[in-house]
Amino acid sequence: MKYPFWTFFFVVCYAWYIFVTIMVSVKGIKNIKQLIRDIEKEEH
Amino acid sequence: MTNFDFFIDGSIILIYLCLILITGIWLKKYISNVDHFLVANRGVDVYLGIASLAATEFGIATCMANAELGFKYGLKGIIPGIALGGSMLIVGVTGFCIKPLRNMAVITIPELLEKKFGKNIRWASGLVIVIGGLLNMGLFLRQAGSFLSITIGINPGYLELLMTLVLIFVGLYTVIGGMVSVIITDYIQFILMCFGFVTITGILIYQFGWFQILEQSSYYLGPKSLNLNVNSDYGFDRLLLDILVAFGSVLTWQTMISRVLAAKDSTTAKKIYMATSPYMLMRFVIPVFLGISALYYFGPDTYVGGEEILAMPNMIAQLMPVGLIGIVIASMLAADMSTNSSYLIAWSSVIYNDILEPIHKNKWSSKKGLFYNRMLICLIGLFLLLYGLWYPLSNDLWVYMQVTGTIYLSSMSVILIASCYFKNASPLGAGMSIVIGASIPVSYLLLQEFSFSSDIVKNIGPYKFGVFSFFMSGLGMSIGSLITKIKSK
Repeated sequence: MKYPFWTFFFVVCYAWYIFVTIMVSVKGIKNIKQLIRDIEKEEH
Repeated sequence: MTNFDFFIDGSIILIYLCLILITGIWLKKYISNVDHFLVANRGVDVYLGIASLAATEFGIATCMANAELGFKYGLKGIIPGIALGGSMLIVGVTGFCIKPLRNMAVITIPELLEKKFGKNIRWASGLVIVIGGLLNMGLFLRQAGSFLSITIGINPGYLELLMTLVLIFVGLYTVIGGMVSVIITDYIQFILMCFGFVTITGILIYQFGWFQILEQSSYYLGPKSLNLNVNSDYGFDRLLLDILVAFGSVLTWQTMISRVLAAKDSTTAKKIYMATSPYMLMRFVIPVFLGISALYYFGPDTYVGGEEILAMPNMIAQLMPVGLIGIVIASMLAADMSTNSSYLIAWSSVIYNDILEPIHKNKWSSKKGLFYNRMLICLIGLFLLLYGLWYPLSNDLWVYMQVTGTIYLSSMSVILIASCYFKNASPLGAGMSIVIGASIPVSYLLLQEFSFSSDIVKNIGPYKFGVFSFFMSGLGMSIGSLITKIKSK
């Protein structure tokens, strides 16, 4: 295979990018709810 | 020439814009004081922090600048990303500076500096941060306008109109919803960006072939473009500036550090940095790949003499099919809006919190504070519009961003490290560091505009100026602190 370093590098980078984006999209929504709940609690 | 269809692609973009605007306006009810507006009540957890930081630092200007690096230097253009990702990882793992910074519960770095060096240094550092930051951001709107006019297929004569529309849109939800709105819309934009960028990459690899793209890049730019060693095209001074700017940004760049300050605690701040560090690498990997793909598509002779930056948007306009081009433009708009909104709020927070502090003395009511913060955002927007139209870019965009960033990165990184870890650091040293650190890059920007000095300055090059600025700033801090110590004895 030609360019093994760059092939491996790009595969790892993109795989990581997709994986973390999925993680963030699932868990980030919980954080948004919590953030809004905290602000509401502080105001009441 | 573009494949953009106003009905199909235009509808995709319109739906996306409506979603963002409605979200931004809906969040207005959660903004009742300046802390909510500027640091989202310090309630940001790891995952939201990652999304926000990653989305903020990836805008259309960054994408075009880094694609230009790929087009001109090949995969060597990834080097600044390695420096940035590496430095963010090191700072995240060690908590170097960011831990004490977050524990102090300040809103900006100058606020921390006041505790160590007094009010004058807080004010001076606020000023230098705003000057460097605004100049750095000065060309963002223009790049966004160029990208949109090329990809949508609008006459370049309407560039000003496009810039104004982007600004009004971003300004609207930032002014209304503040940092809460910025962080939550960042989250939506982060997901859309990933989808858009992965899609473009997939299409390019499918159409051109992965090995063919690399082979052609090597053919056009030489085999050296596929290795990371320094050479005559990408010299040691450039590498050194990449590393210094990377560490300086990670420690003091207001849009990055504001995520540390908005984090729940210092442990969360460290985790956000560690997990976001690979995104800083992706911030270069994706655009550089787009750049070398554009080189494959157009060859090296179509875009020359400063027009290399236009190769990537033209490739997208010509290659992406109807439907997909709408998604790609929406994702690029997402990237840009998250960047602009965060930058607007970052610089306005420094102006309000530090430069105007002697006027309001933190005694203004929440309502008055919010009003002035919103006014500041509008004024910054106006400046960006005028500056973006007026300033002629004579170098790589990335180099311009490095030089303008150095105006404050050089001194602020030195002063921040000194304030956290050197007990002998004095206000005189901090003052000298600020003046020297800002004057060197500003001299470079001014001298390159005059005919009598332009050639000399261009021969020395921006990288040596930048590196010199960091070292002289450190020296200024050391000498100033030494003088203070000798005087006190």
